Amino acid sequence: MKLEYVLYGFGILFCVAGVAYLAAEYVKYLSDIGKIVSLLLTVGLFAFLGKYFERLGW
Amino acid sequence: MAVKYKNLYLYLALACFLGIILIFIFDGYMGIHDTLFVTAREYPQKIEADQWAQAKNGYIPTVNIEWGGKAAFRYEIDNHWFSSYGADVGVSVWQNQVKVADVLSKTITVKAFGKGQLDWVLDTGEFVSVNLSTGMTSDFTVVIKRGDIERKVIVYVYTDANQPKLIPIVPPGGLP
Repeated sequence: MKLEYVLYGFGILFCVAGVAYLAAEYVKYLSDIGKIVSLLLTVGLFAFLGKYFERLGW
Repeated sequence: MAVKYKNLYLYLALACFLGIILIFIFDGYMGIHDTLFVTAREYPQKIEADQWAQAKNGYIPTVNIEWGGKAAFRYEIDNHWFSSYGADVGVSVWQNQVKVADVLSKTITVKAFGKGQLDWVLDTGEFVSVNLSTGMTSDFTVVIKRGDIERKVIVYVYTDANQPKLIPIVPPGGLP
């Protein structure tokens, strides 16, 4: 496995952990429109990441 | 072409991530947030944004206080904004859409990224005029008005059904 993939893995892990922390702390303050847009962006985030790794041949 | 857009999906994913972060900062963190802390007997209770938001669905937070007891209220205002915030805060007690009492009326100013708080004590003995017998309850609504924003908390006053009953001691041979 290439080192860069390991670094990608760490990067993704930290991103997900960061979003999870923000969600736990501040989701109660979000407006309804903020919640739905965040949900859509989260779906987009994982969809684009999946597509990116698919292109890499994973 | 394929080489040029090799990392396109990665950049789109990063854009989504940044979007989420920005929403959490500007829609979540930034703004004026209020939290109510109520301590009745030894039970602290925290009422915050997610519970205030449920008010539009008909849910109003409830506080239980034993009749004759007191509850300490602490209303905190967090100003997560770049300018100071000022508002008139009024606290009143209502029952059956009739105002029973004004508890507090004060102007509060909170500096940028600061915190302000108001404290008051609600004595159920002042609002329940008649003695509640064991097992009976009474409800009140505490209305906190801050500028145009109104927060409501239902105060449920009860008598302890399990409290020990006083049994008169009768001497042998009966009362004189």
